[in-house]
Amino acid sequence: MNEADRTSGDIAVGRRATGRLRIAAVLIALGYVALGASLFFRHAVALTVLIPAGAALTLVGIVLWLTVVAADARSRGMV
Amino acid sequence: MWISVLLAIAGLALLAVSMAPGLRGARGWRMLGFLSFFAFPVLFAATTIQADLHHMKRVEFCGSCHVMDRHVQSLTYDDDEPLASVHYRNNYVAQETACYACHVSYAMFGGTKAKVNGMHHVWAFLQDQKPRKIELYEPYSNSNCLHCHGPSQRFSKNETHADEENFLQRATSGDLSCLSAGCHDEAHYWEGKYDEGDDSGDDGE
Repeated sequence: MNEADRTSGDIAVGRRATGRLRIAAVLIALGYVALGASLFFRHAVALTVLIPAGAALTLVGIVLWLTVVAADARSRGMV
Repeated sequence: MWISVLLAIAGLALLAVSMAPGLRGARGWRMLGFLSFFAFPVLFAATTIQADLHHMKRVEFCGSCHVMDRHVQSLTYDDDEPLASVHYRNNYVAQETACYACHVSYAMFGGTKAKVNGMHHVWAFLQDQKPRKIELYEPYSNSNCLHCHGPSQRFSKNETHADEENFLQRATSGDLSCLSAGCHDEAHYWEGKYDEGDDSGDDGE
């Protein structure tokens, strides 16, 4: 891979990565809200919804972030 | 709980900082990303879920469904016959987790099974299937009683227990039920429980 290709690849990965990071940040923030709400709304039905929803949002956000990290590492030839 | 709240505030602030325009690629951004996208969310989720699971052991959680109101109130009923009030009022079980202490199996997956049963309760509630009579899913297990009473000298030397042939062996195997054999069959009691037309009492619980 020559220098020009590497730079254009970096830009493409960078744009995709920024979009994914934004989505991951939103999902994790929603996870914070859902799990945080479970500390205050402690009715059985509320917890049944808030805990799985918060955990799932956080998990998907983290996985999305990991895909960005992996793509970034691949674009640099680290893996 | 307040540790979780502080973690949430710090985590959200870190997320906002790490997504600030122009910061990507700056020195230390990867570490910031690790903290804001992984370390803080995982730590927050773990502490929050742990706090929630701990709360689920409390009597006030069991009583958060109104269908359980009378059972919760029966804990403070001033009588030495019903098991629930005897155990609660005398602090034989921790008062704040009294329901959990008696109704969740002490076996390995007892807590998990209780959560699954709790999901059944929520599903029934959402389907508007309020039972006419609150009943256990399966007969009450002696092992929950014997977990505390089994090693007790007062329990083994009790005259009624001592008179029964192979008492401890039969109680342990489940052949002789502590609750449904006419010995300790009043678990929860409230005024009007057996009034005509009121069929919401518990059976052999």
